[in-house]
Amino acid sequence: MMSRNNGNDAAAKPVIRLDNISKHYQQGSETVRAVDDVTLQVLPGDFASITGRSGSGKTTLLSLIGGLTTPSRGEVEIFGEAMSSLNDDALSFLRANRIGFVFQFASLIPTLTAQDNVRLPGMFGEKPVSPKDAADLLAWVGLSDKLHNFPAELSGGQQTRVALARALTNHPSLLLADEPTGNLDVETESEILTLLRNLNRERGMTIVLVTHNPELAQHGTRHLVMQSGKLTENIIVNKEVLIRE
Amino acid sequence: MKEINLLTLALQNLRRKPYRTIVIGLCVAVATGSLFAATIVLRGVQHSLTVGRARLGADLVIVPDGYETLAQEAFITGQPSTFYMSDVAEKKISTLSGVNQTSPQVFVETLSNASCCIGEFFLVGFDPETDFTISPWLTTHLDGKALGPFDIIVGDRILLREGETVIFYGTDFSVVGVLEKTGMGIDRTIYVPMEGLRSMIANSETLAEQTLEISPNDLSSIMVSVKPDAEILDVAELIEANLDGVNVFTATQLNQAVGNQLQGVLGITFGVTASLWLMSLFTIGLVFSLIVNERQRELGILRAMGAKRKVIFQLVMGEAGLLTGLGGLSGLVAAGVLLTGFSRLIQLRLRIPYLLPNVFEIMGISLLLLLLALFTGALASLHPALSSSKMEPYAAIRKGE
Repeated sequence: MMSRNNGNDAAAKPVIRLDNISKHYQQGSETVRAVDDVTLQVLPGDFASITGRSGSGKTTLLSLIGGLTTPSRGEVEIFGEAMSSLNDDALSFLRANRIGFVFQFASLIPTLTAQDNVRLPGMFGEKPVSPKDAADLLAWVGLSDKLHNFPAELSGGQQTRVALARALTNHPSLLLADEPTGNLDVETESEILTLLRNLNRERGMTIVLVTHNPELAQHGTRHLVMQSGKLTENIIVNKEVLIRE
Repeated sequence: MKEINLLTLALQNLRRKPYRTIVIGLCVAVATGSLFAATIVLRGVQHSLTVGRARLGADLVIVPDGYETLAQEAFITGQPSTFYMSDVAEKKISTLSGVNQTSPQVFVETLSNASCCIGEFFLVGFDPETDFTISPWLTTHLDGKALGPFDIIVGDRILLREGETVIFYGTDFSVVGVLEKTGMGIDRTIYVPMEGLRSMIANSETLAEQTLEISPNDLSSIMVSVKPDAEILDVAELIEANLDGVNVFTATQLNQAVGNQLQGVLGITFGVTASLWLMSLFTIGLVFSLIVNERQRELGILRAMGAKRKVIFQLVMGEAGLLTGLGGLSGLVAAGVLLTGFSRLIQLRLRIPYLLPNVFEIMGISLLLLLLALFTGALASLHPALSSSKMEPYAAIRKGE
């Protein structure tokens, strides 16, 4: 593994710690090594971007971090807890209250308004989300005039903003974003990126962003590169931010 | 504040594909409604037979040979039937061993333009001196007063009430009592004392548009009660052996006649309903498998948001429950409206006695069928609900892409 920093900073307890994890699955007679022996630490306040070609294992790695799938081998530790020791209810609690997800296609519920989509995670979190809180979040992503619009009435960029607001509903400390700007134009991509950067810098939120665009990776604090399931680079790109935090 | 919960989410999901929702709901509605209708009709007939049998009072009914079917139909549905035999028969029967009491009846059909009612109604002349079938039910209505020759008693479905007068074949009659509802032909029958009926027949030539050609010695039926120590069937056989040109039937045979009428219709109804039910079960199962399949990504994302497995399970089951519950409820309401609105048509078409069961029984049957509809939904969606809840969120999201 090529790495200028393997993430073993002793100062802060890592939010995410991956210890030689692999994810293999069968595709016919072939064994696909989607993630192959990856070791990594993400510290509080990190903005880690994972880049790599299609099929390099970026999304699988993100899913392993978020507990959406289990590794074939190795251990994932999140907020200091080994995921293998958590049952489904505990994992669900963690996802509901401490982790926010944004996916490539916004995947909003088509029959709910933007505001109700943002309130939805409140069903699974510790307390319901009021319409006002949802409106505040939508205002923060610049959609205060779209509260009552249904997803079909929103552009791709607006849907991604709603998805971002939805991911922030339960005040998570870790945001996992899987190519949230993958299908957006450059201008909208930049706006979404600004929102993510603000979350990281102003609120100290730890972010792991999967993107196919290496340029976007330069805006974070750490740039991880994946190739054929392996983590080939782990570079600190913005040390100032890390030092400041 | 509008709540966001599993119920609202399930409702919203059903609204996504209104056509599909309506078709499945309709399927469940038809199955539930048909089963409800068939059950209510069956219970209605049983209830009516119990009440009607008690009201009939006679152990045996004697009618002219060849008219037993018509007579049974008249007792069951109240459709007027007129047939006659000589009163000699009654005299002979009363002398036979085992016979306790006999009482004659004479059947007359009202004209279609009778002042009380639309359509033809059944006038039954009875002898208050010997009658043991109607009189026991009349005494309560007459408050001890003697029944005059032109005092009539009407069934519950006749649109006449106590104190009203009516003209049949030019003769005036006064209503002095209304019988309780039975669901049988009694409800549509007008009981006239024999003296008044004979007078009406005699005066019809001069007072009525149509003359009644009934001889003073003609009878339509003879009601027979059997001595407590005698076997009803033995007495029936004795009567048939001693009298030519008559037919004897028992209250049990009346039930059998009803059973024969119902067997075919209810058999088909229950068969069709069972097929519909099975079809609904498979359709709901198939559709929910499709729904879960097409919404895999969404369900995976709900899991990523923190939804527990049981929430996904409850969501899918809740949708199926809502769909089958609402479908079942619609079916029950529609069947209830149709049964109430067309009860007379059902009675005439099926030629059965029919008395709506009491409200608690109807509510009980409705509740059971609603539970059956919900159970069907739960059973059909169990597999899709379980498989979707067990799916790994990542796999669900990827498979749904």
